[in-house]
Amino acid sequence: MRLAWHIVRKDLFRLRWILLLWAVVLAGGLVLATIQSGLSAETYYPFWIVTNIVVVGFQPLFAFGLVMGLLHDDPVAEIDAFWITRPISGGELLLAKALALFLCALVPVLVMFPFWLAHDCGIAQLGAVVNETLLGHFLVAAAALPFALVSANGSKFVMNVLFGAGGLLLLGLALQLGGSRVPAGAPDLVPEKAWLIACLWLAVAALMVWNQFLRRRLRWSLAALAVGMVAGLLVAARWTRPLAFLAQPPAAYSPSLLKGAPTLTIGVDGEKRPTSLIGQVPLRAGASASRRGVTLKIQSVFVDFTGELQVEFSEAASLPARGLAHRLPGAAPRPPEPARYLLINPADKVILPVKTEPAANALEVAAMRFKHVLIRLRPAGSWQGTPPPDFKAWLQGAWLVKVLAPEPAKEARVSPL
Amino acid sequence: MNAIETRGLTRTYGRADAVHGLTLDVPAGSVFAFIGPNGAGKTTTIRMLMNLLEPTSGEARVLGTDSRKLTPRERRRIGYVSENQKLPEWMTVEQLLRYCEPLYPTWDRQLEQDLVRKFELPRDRKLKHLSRGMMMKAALLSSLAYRPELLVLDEPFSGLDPLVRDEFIAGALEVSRQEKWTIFISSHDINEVEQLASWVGLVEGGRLTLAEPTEDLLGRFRRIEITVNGDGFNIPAAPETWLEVQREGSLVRAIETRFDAGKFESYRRHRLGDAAVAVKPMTLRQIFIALAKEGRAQGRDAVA
Repeated sequence: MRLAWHIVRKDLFRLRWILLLWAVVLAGGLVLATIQSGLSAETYYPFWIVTNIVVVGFQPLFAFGLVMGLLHDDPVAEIDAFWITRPISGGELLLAKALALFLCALVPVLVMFPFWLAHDCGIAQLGAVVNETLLGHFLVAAAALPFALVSANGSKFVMNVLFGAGGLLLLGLALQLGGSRVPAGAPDLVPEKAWLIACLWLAVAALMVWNQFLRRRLRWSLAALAVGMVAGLLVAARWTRPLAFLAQPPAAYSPSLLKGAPTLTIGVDGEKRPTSLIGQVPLRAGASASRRGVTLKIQSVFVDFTGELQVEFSEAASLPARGLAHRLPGAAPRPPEPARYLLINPADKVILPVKTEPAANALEVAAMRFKHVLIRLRPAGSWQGTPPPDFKAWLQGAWLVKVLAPEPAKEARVSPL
Repeated sequence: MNAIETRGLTRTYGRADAVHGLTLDVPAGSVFAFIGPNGAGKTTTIRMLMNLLEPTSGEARVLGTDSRKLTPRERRRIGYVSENQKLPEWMTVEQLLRYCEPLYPTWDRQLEQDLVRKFELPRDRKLKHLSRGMMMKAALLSSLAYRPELLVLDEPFSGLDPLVRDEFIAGALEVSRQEKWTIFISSHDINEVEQLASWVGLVEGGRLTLAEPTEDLLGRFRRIEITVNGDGFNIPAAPETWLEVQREGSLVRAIETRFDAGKFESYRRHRLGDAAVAVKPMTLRQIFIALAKEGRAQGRDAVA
C-alpha cells in the first residue's frame, strides 16, 4: 500500500496543473450557471451556451485526459515502460492507478461542494449529488479506459479513440442497413440499452484491466475490446425487451427536502390539505432564496397594460438520484416531481394557483437542473372572489411558493382558505 | 553459480525466429558482453530475460528465478538500462532519483551522490531536456544506486559520443569491480565492450555462435603469417582450425582458432620447414569480424 501511495503522489504531482485547470473550468462553469440563472430569458442565452460548452463539452475531455495521463505515465501496453523493470507489481500499479483515479474524481466534488451548500442541500441531497457526480465521472472514465489500456502513449490513445469511434459508426451503419428489429411504434428502450451497454463496457474494461495490468497480453485485450464494441452495437440495434427493474416511479423529492419542511394548508376541491413547502421567495425582481437544494430567483415581475401579470423566475434544484439513464438523448424523460407554484400574500392569506411555462432550455450543472420559468396570470380569471382593488400593492407583499402537489394525478383546484 | 541461464530460449514472430534455441550461462561476477550485429536477437533475448517478452519456448532463469516469474523481490536485485527504455521524461534527475529510492531498500544515498558527481548530472534538469548521453547516464545512475547484483545493459552506448561512452563504461566498471556485480551488456560494436568484458557471447541470426571467457578467446585466436619458399604450402592441406586462409605470392595468411603454442611449434617443424612464421595475437574486434565472415560464408554454402 505504501508503494501504491508513492505512485499516486507521483501521478498527482505530474497531473497537478491539469487538475488545477479542471478545477478552474469547473468553478467557471458554476459561476456561469449562477450568472445565467439571474438573467432574464432574453439575455441568459449566451451564458447558457458557454456554460453548456464548459460543463458538457469540457468534462469528458478532462475525464479522458486524466485517464490518459494516469495510465500513460506507466503504460501497460508499452513493452519498454519504465515501471515494468522496476520492483513494481502489476497489482500494486493497478491499486495506485485506481486510487489516483478516485482522488481525481474528488476534484469536481470538492469544487462543487460549496456550490451545493450555497443551495442549502441537505445530507441526503448531498449524498445524491455526490453520487451522481462521481457516477458521471467514472462512466466517462470507463469509456476512455479500454482505449487507454491498449495505447502506449497519448497520440496512440487519440488515434485508437478515433479508430474506435469510426469503427462503431461503420458497424452501426451496417446494422441499420440490415434493419432494426425494434418494432415500429415500440419504445426505444434507451435506458435499457444504455444500462446493458454500460454493463457490457464495464465488464470489458474490467477484463482488460486484469489482463493488461496482471498479464500484459495486448492481443487479448484488443480482442476483448473488439468483441465488446460489436456486442454493444448489437445491443443498441437489436435489443427489444424492457427490463422491469429499470422502470422507475416518477422522480421523488429527496428526504432532505421534505424532512422538516414548513407545511402550508391549502384547500383542494374544498378540502383542507396540509402540504410541504418546497421553496418560497418574495415576489420582487432580484429576490432569491434557497432551501434544501431548491433555489428560486425572481428575474422580473411585471403587470402589463392589459392587467396581465408576468413573472419570470429561475429555479435550480438538485437532480433526483438514479436518473442518469433517463437523461440520455432519446430516453423517455422521467415524470417530474409533483409540484405546484402558488402566489401567496401572508397579509390576507390569499393564495393564487399559477400555471408555469418553460421560458428557456434547462441546464444541468453540478448535478443540479437550472430552468427558467414564466408565469402569466390574469387576476380577474384566477381570483376566487373579488380581486383586491390595488393588485400591484397586493403583489408587493406577495411570495412565490412551490409546494408539493397534494394529488399529482388529479388536476385539483387549489383555492384560498 | 550463474547469474543468468537460458535453455533453448526461442522467440518467434510469425514464422521468423528472432531468437532460436539460445542456451547460455552467464557466470556470477562476470562482465558478459553479448555481441552481435543489428537484428541478431540481442534485444529480444534481453527482453525475455527481463520478462518484457514471453519466450515462445525454452526457459530463462535470472538470479535463479524463472524470468516469467520475476517478482518485485528479484527486480530489487536487478538493474536494467536500455536504449529503448521509456523514462519518465517529465521528471528532473532529482525527481527520478527520489521516485526510485523508496522502491529499493538497498538504495545508497552516498553512492548516488558520488555517481551524480562523477556523471556530472544536473539534478534540477528535466530528463527531456538532457542530451541522450546524459539521459542514459541518469538511467544508469538510477540502476546503480541500489547496488544490484545483476546489471543488464541493452545497447547502452548506442548514439553516445566516445567521451560519454568512456565515462559510462568507467562508471559501470568502477562500481561493478568494487561490488563484484554481474554485468550483462549487449552491443553491436565489439569496440564498445572490449575493454570491460570478461566473457563474450556472440549471437548471429538469433543463434549463439560462441560464449566463453575473453581471456580464453583471445588466447586461442592467432593471426598467422607464413612466408614460404616456392610451392611449399598447399592451402587445402591447412588445418581445419584455420580460418580465412589466403595466399598472396609467397605470403600465406590465416587465423588459427585453437591456438596452442606447443602444438603449433610441432606443426611448424613438421609441415612448414624453414618458412618464416609470424604469430600475432588478435583483438576481440578482429576475432568477431573473422567469425562473422565465417558464419556468413557457411550460411552461403548452406544456401548453395
